[in-house]
Amino acid sequence: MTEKIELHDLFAQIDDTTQLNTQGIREERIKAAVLDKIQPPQTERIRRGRPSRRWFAALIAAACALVLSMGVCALTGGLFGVRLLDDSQRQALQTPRYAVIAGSRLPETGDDERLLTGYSAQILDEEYLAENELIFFDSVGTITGETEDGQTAFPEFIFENGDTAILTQPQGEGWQLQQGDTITVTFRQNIQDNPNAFPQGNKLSLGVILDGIPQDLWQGSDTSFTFCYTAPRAGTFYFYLQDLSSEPVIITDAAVTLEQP
Amino acid sequence: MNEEGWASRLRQDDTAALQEVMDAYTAYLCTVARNMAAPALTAQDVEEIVSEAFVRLWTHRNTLDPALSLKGYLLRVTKNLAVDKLRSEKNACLPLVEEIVACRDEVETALERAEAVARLQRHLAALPRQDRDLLLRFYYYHQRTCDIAKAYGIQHGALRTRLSRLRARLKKELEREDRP
Repeated sequence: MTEKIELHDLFAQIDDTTQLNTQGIREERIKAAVLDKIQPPQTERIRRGRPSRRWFAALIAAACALVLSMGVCALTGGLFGVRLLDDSQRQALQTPRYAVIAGSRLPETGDDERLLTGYSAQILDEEYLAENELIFFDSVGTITGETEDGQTAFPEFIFENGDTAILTQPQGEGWQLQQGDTITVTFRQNIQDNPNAFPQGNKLSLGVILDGIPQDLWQGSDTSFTFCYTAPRAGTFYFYLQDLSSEPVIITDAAVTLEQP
Repeated sequence: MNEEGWASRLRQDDTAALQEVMDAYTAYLCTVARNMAAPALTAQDVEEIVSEAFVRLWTHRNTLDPALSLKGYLLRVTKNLAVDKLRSEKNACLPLVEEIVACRDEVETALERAEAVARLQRHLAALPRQDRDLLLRFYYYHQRTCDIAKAYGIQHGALRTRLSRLRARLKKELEREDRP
């Protein structure tokens, strides 16, 4: 039985020092930064003394996510890259994500390989994406929320490197805004349930889609984030999140709130 | 150096093991990150990327498979983080991102991993020094072909042709069935 081996991975198994070049790089600073980052914060140490409450909270969170996922799955349709966080996704997250020998070839890029699921094909201007070669919109899905009193709340979902998740209202609608209207987008990264998460948060991008054209608003790795957006003109607006990190990211407590004038 | 021992100690929250891993691989990972993406990445970017790679190793220490290589894991994480960093620069670095992503080269072999590594080492040892150096620069140190061509003082096209021939010979060697 044959197996594919990526040559760079195979070469990594040997040792050679002839071409090492660390000029200008402070190795001690790297090591100090690592040791500093892996120290658990004070609050974490306190929590470790109370495991029962933590496990109880985790169970409640898991149950809520499952119920929300089941409810919204029917509305969202078959998602590939962007998907609601369910038990199978949680289980998959526990699997080690590296294999040194078996090469995991990245998908080839090409216009015919763009994957627009859910309502995203109606939301995005595909011609614009193709003409401008926006590589970050190759794998797009929609996450639908439930709206009440001007606030749309979204179920917990997971997406991977390069995936785009467009937030929509229950039937795939965006937000009708007049010039000067203000809308607030909030979300958190669930790093507790994600073994692949960086302690300080994974890198994300938040953007807005107007008339099918996406535009970045913010990039960062904040684990909890709020963005206030003021409509530059009247129109239908959608907001999206992109996973710019190399790992899957779980988004929780996402909400879009239309501020009352 | 004992990777299995390090993996086992990491799972026991032994920070001394992490320090030993850092002592062993920091210079290599910095070299790779720099070779892949200079001059787009600064020395500070490289430091941040490599420190993140070690933090992730620590974060995932309980799910590490001791049968797999820590070095390979760290290398892959470092490369992914470098690509992420370049992508975050958006258009300015996209050609470089494409070059890195496209730079994957697989062989199909029936060999066990350890045997493949041993056969690779034998193959390298049997090559003339400059050919061995060229393969190491490209596959081990992740130097870009334009940089290798400059170092050798030859045309980029000539370098790529030579690399292509060496790669073909290496693939043939790795795909060769053992005779009883």
